[in-house]
Amino acid sequence: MINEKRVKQMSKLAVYEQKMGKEPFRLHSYYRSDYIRLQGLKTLVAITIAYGICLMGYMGFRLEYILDHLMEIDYKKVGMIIVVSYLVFLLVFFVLSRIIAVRKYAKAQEQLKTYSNLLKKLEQSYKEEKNPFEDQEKEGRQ
Amino acid sequence: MTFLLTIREKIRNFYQQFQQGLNLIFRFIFSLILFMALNNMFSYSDVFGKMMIIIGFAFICMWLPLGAVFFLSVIYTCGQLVVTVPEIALVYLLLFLISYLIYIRLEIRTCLPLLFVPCAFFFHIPYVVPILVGILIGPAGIIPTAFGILLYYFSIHVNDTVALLGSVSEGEVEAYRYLIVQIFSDKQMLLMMIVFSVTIGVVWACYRMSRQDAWNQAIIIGGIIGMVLFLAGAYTLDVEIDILNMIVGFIIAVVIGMIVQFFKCIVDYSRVEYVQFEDEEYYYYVKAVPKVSMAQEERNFKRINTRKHVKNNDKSVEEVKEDWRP
Repeated sequence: MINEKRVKQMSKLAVYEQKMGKEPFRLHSYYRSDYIRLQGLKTLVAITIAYGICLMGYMGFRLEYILDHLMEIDYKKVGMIIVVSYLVFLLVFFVLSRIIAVRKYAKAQEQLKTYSNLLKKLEQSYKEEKNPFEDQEKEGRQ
Repeated sequence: MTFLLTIREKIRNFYQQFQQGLNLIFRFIFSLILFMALNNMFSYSDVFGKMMIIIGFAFICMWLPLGAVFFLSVIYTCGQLVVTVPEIALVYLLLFLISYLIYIRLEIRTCLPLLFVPCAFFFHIPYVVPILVGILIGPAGIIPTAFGILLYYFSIHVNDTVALLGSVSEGEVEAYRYLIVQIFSDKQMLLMMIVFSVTIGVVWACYRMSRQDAWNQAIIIGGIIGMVLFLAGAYTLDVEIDILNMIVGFIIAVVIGMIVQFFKCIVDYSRVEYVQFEDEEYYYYVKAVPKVSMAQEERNFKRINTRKHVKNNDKSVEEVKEDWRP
């Protein structure tokens, strides 16, 4: 026979699971620090590629000038400018990605906590069904 | 107001009834507008410019998530550009790659403002962008909006570059250089980026305030701030703008913002969920319908306790004493 109360609980659980998606479960497989570090690493790679593209684009734009003044360019100064601008660029987006990662992880944890509470309620209803006189037995033993 | 609320309830009920089909239709319409806007901006290829191709792209996008729509829009635009100027198609691809790598990859839904900007320009209502992004997305939408504006001005300068390539026998490197110079020296684009970014921030900050009617106030304040900033910025950066057009644009943007805000709750809350699960004995296929108050079509107010005698409060102390005297 269908247990109406449990069907309601399961439906609520399924709707909640559908709404939150698979992302919170994926994030939960990492420790918080590991997840934030991984996002930082991804940002490092992505920003390096993006910066490389920008630099190549700029060099392409100034190609004629570079070829004309190949011997006169102060490479030390240019190198410093490239490195410093890269580090600034990286720092800005590193901080941004860290903020987003922290928020995402916190949200996922919150969602999983609610999910876990719903799951506990469902588990409780199963326990009650298996042994409906559990409480009375305990009282009797006492 | 009651009339509007009743209409909203009716629309909500209708939306709830046909939610899945309507979502597909809305996605199709949005994708169709997007590809028409992109075709309007980069109409270089006869093949990609055909209406059937545009409808085909929109039809595919109807079934795909937002991230896939973003990548398909890039493919479509590159297809338009690669026929005439392959180098510029490469520049466009790199611009999108940069936008994806530095920001959009962090949260894929932030590509929505980027896709929305060309649509807004297509309907000549660009000023609606900061208000809608402010109320629907918030500061996370600032960078994609800026990229969207860059994309729009890129299309304008590509037109000039293609015209230059056609008229003068310049090298392709020259054309590329001309395009880059034009884009990065465009003060109007810079002004629009700054004003839109500030307006998004202001709208979002006001929208979250715990004040009565903060939502509508945020939209109006956003409109006013946008107008003032545009005027101040145009004066400071020495940019020519059509003031009347800008003011009318912001008024329209405020009206659209209020309409969107009014109907926002329909999409927020009216979600019919279809879920499947199983236990040891059964498979369950459940349709979960949220409870909402039904719209009342006709409300007749009938006064049944008419005011026949004067209340004690309205009488003087002496009159009350008179009443109570035996």
